[in-house]
Amino acid sequence: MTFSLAIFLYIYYGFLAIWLIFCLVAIYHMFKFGFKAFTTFASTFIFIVVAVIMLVFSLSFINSINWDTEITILGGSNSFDLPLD
Amino acid sequence: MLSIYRFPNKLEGEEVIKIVRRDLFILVKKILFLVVLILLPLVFFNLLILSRTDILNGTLAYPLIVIGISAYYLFMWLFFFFSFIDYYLDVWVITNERIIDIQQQGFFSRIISEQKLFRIQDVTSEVHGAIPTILAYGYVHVQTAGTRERFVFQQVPYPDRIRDMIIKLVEHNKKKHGINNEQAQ
Repeated sequence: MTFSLAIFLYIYYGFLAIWLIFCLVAIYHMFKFGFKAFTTFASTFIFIVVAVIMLVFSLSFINSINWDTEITILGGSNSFDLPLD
Repeated sequence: MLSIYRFPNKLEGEEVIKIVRRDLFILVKKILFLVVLILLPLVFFNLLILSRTDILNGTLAYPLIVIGISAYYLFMWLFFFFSFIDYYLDVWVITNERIIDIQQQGFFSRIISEQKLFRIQDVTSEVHGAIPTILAYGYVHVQTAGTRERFVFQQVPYPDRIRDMIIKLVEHNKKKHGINNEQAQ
């Protein structure tokens, strides 16, 4: 059975969309219900900065992968640990 | 956004006496838990993957590892932020007229309740366990005229001081409104 590696990328993007929704919910909670105080703004700012750094790192690794690669499992050679092209 | 100077339904002449949150140690515990969750994949990586470095060059293994690690750490960070929100938005506001209990429960649940000070009958503080005793945090139970316990200040620092403060405020408030204990019941 052969399938494109891109399937995993789409699953990851699906996770990312859900993650983003929950991030917005969290930020909304902070600004809607938090006290107007330095801690509220500082903690939200730190959360956003760290999240963006993590996303940039992730995307830099993800962009280095050739997602058009076809993967063969069952009936062919196992490509789980075959060398990258 | 809330402000201690302009919170909902502020009464005339009402002043905020104290804003109480859970003890800082509760937040420290959450941070330590996050650190453990951050280190866990590194331990796993060292034990299992570095013994087979060829797996990092795998056509399927490498992309799975990259998106797996990315998803894990993004989720952990969000989980920690929600834990922080749970800590930060759980707050008890003590004013010279009432106690306001604001509780954030989970992602989409929020409970706000209040009680007039002159209705309060009994205030009890509790400290259980070695760490709470050393770090001086515990519970304060506020009992009103009804049979059901109205408020519980959970894991708050110096619960005995908070109890004393509430008792004094209740006595003062009852005098102000010309109410004795029998009338309050």
